[in-house]
Order: sequence, then structure tokens, then C-alpha cells
Amino acid sequence: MSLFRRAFLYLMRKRVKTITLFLIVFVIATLALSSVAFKGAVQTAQLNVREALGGCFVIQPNYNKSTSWEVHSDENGEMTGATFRGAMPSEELADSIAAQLDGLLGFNLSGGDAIRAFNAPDGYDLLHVASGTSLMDAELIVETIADGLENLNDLYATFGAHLCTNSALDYYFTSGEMTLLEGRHLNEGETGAVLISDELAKQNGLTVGDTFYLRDSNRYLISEHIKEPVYFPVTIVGIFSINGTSAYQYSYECAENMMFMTASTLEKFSMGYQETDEEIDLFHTIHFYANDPEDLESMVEKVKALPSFGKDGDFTVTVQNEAILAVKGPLENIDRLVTILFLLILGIGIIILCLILSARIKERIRETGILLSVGVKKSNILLQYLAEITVVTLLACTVAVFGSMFVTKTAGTMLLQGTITDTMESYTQQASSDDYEIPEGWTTVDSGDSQIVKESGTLSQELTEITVSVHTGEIVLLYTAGLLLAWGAVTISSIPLFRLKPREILSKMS
Amino acid sequence: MSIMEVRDVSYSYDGKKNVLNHVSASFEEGNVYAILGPSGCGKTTLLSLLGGLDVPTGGAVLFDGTDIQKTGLGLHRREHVSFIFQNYNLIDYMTPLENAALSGSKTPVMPVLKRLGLTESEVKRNVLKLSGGQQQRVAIARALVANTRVILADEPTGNVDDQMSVEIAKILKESAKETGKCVIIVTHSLDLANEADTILVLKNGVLEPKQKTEAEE
Repeated sequence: MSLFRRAFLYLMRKRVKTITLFLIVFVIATLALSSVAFKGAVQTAQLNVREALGGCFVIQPNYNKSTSWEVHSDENGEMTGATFRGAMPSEELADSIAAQLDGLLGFNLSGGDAIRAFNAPDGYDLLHVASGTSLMDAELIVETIADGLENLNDLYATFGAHLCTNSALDYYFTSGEMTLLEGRHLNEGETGAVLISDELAKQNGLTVGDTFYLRDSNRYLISEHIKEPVYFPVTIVGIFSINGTSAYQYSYECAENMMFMTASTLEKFSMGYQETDEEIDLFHTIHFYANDPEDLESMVEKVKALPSFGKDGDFTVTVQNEAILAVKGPLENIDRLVTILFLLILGIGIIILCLILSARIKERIRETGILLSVGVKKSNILLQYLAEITVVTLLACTVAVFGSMFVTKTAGTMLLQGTITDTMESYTQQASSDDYEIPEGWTTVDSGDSQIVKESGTLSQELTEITVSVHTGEIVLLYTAGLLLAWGAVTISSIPLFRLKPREILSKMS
Repeated sequence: MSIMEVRDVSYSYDGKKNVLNHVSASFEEGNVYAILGPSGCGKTTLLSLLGGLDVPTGGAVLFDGTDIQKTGLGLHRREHVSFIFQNYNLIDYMTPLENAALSGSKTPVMPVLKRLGLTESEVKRNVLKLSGGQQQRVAIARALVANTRVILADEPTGNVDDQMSVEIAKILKESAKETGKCVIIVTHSLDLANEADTILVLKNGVLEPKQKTEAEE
């Protein structure tokens, strides 16, 4: 009788023992596979969090350096104001820092200015603003004139130019506050191309490929007595949406009226950048991104050691990874918990399986002796036992795949999403600003030029769109590990038995 | 010509006292041999050595003139000898039909089981549902079906009643005569021994042939 026939008969006729073994292997396999899948999901969640929250470090002028300020005084020697004259971030500075850092994803320099936009180069056919107040608000004009005309800029600017060197890496986009809906990002150094918001596009009936004209702000033209301003045609290459609403009052500050462009575009129409030989400061911030945001801290330490940084340096460097840190802790805790759980399951599983299989083999000493007495080789008997455990393991693992799919889809996903949601809610509550009256359930995220009021749940919703699922690699791992474990346990359990002489086995039988 | 032979065989469990002491004997095909002796005299040990379940500490066991250790004990058990045990030693999750076919011989099993008195329905039941006598018949069938030239029986009637003992003795004798097999029986039963062609008595580690009348006495 072949070993397969014997194995088949044993499995079919010793049903209670077979089902018991099947259930034990099934439970161990389900728990092991679920914990592996869950661990994978936690790691994916950690990566998603790092990517979604866009951790970066930021370089800005050192506004605390007293020697960088030029103080203005009146005739009586009383201080009337101060102008910052310190060094501003430049492309040269960004390049020199980037050259010293490994693992850098990229960087973006950003700056801003006030501009006007027209449908035609005539100075009359203004584009309508999408948010905030502008020149059209008569009441505001009266108030501003009453204030003494200091805020003319607010009245006449209308739109905001957001300068960037790499719009795809601009913090508005990397932080998730803005999303490119149509078209593409700006190419580095691209002239005559802009990104506008969907609300601005809707307000003016614009779409990707349309052209309009940009010009200096009225304030600049008035203060410089410029009679013939430059109207520069720009083409919309992309339209973005804003995940929230602007918190500012004046239109040129509102994100909805913001136009992304490169410095070379601004230089084409802004006469202040054309009519001087002096070096113009275009940018006020540089955002550096690491391939893995985990490396940000070490990168910042390197930057801080550079000559232009430090207490009295020209620049400051800060890490923007609060959100990552807020979510990192709980996720790492889950990761550790799952790892411990997995090791416990594996350890206890191995012990239980070895004990059960060892007991089963000892129980079959009589059968082993009988088979030996009819001339069946020891290797053939061992193969029969291995064939039996193989069938049980394969069946149990197959059912365990479905079992763990159920476990992970329900308990696992709920637990992971719950952790991220709770953490993000707590983070966003902490991050809420007191500067503005924020509706309940909303929070502000500061991005440099502008400030966006964002629904608290939005970010956590993006992050919790993660499902714990069982992958093919994990299933293959389960089958491989399960079979190796079962084969190992059977072989090890059989060693004492097969070391006996047939006569000793028969003596034990009797 | 002898099919099996023990030549100057000694066996000791502890390396000091020999259970078997330079035992020599030969066994021929078509004959039934009964080995008698008091308990603990080494009868089962001798049977184990003949069946290749153990190896002697001195001397050799030969099959067809060749030392079985040289041909391999596994091969010897598989191809040369088959066993009948006192406690039947049947595999409990198999039917009589499957137990009898365990050796893998191509000899049809059903006719042998029928000849031994088992019905169609009995051979398809679990062996544990048969009586002791029926189980021993299954064990005998397994030995008969196996394509071996020697049957080694260790107290084959130890667990059955007198009537069944006589029947088993008759079956074994018939098998020896019909198939030309050599049957070696270790027993306490004088009745069973008297059915044998040759009676050997193992005493103080020495094997000696005895006349049937002597054995009876």
C-alpha cells in the first residue's frame, strides 16, 4: 500500500484528530497572517503619513538678528518703523545646501508679490477676484481713505503672485492644502505660465490654455509714477483646488486669488525687478524635502552647522514634521504591539504544534512498529506522516487566508483608521490658531505666504483611506512558513521514534 | 535445502549474560517449526533475530545462505519474512482488507480472507469491530498474502480460545504445505506445537530438537 493511500486513509478515518489538528493550524495561521498583514498596513500607514503630511525643513531669514534691521526715525529721533535688510534666501543658497545633503528629494523657493490681472492689456478689464475684498468694495475704499491711505496696497493689489521654483514641491501642494485638478505643474524656470485656483477660473470663465494679462500693482505704479506699465500675457497651464477656505480679508492675500508663477514670469512685467541693477530679493522661504522624512532631523543638524546659520546667522532652519511626529508615536506603538503579537503567536504556535505533533507521533508507535514489521522503510513512514501534515496545513492555510481577510478587513482596518483619526484630530486641535475666528471643526494650516482654514477631518480622512489587506507575498510566506514549521515539527518529533530498533518499537507496542 | 539458518547465534541484552548461547538451527521450506520453552528463555528474541527486527551479538542469521545483515534487515523484513503477532498488530484505522494488503503484495487479498472465514461485510468493517479470533485471522491473512517464503508467528494463539487455536494451527500447516512456505511458531501451547513438523525447545540459551512425544510429556 502506498504512503499516500495510507495517509489518505488516516486523514479520512481519524476525523476527529484531523479536524482538531486542522483547527489548531487554522487558528495559528489566521492569527499569524492577520498580524503580518496588519504589520504591513501599519508600515504603509506610516509611509503614507510621512508622504501625505509632507515633512520638510524650512529656511527663512533670521528676523531675530538685530543688525539686519534698519530703524526709521522721525525728526525728533523717535522710531517710526524698521525695514528688514538682512540676507534673503536665494537659489545659490539652496543649491549650496542641497549639494551637501544626501537623500534629498528636492527643494522649492517661494516668495510673493501683489499684482493685478486683466482680460485685455488695457488697464480696465480686470479679472474678478474669487474671494476677499478688493477695489470693488466701496465701503472699504471709504474706510481705507479714512485710515490715511497707508493701506492703498490692500486696495489696489487685487491678486497675489506666488513665486516658486518647483510648484510640485511647493508647500501648498505637498501639505495637501492644494491639489492640482487639471493641467500640469510649472516647469522649472518656465516663463509665461501660471497656475490658478478653480474658483478663480470659474469666476472668470477661464480654463487651461486660456491667456490673460498681468501687470504691476497700482500702488507700485503710483509710488513710482509709472505711466506706461507692462502688460504681460500669461497662459494657464494648471488649475488647482483649495482644501478649505481662505482666512484673509483682502483679496490678494486669499489663496483663491493666488497665481503660481516662476520668478522669470514676474520679471517680465514687474518693473521693479527690471529697472535696477541691484540684486532683488525674490524669495523669502526655501522648503527642502527628504526622500524619507525620517532623515529630516539629521539633515537639519547638518544645515545648522553651516556658517550662515546659528544664533547670529543670516538664516534660521526649522523642521516642519509636527504632524508626522504626532501620528508617528501611536503608529509605532501599534507596529511594536503587532510585532510582539506576531512573535507570540509564532512562538506559542510552534510550541503547541510541536507538542501536538509529538504526541500524535508517539501515539502512533504501534502503527510505526506494524509498518516496520511488514518491511515499510522508516523514510516511507516519515513521508506518510509528512504527507498527512502537508494536506492539513495546506487546507488550514487556505481557509486561514479567507479568515485573515475577514479579520483584517474588519478589526484591523477599524483599529488602524481609528488610531490615525484620533491622532490627527488631537493634532489638528493643538494646531488651531487663535488669530482668526475659526468655525468649530476647522483648523488653520500656515503655509508661509497665505493661510488656509482647513476642515479638521480632511487630512485624517486622506490618511485613513487605508485598508488592511492580505497580499500575495504574505500568503506565499504563510504557506512556506506553515509547511516548513509543520514538516520540522513532524520530523523532529519522529526522530526519537525512528532511532529505536524495530524490536524496541515492538516491545513498546506490547 | 534450508531456507533460513541461525549459525552460532548469541544474544545478550546487557553484554554479560547471554539469552541465546551459540544457537544453531536450520529451517526448511514447506515445514512448520514450533519453538517451545519457558517464559523469558529467549524464544521471542530468537524470532526477532530471524525476522531481522534485531541483530545478534554473535553469530549470523542466514536467508538462502546469505547473512541477512549483508542483504539489509529492511529488505529481509520486506521480501523474505512476514510476522504474525500474539496481539494481532493490526492498524486500527484500516479495514481487514486494507490491513491484509499492507505489505503491498500483488496477491489478491479477498480469496485469502474468505478462505480464513471472513465474510464480504466483515472485511470492509473497521478491524476493531471484529472479534479476537477474526483479528488474528486478518493478521494471518496479511502474512499469507505477503510474497514471503517464511512466516514467523509469535504466540499466534495466545489470545484466542482452544477451538480457534486448533483452526489457526490448521491454517498455518495447510499454508506451509500448499505454498511451500516455512512457518516458524513460537508458542507455549503443546497442542499447537504438536501440529508442527518439528519441535525445538529453547532452554538455558540452547536450542534442541525434541520428539513430539517428549514435548507432550
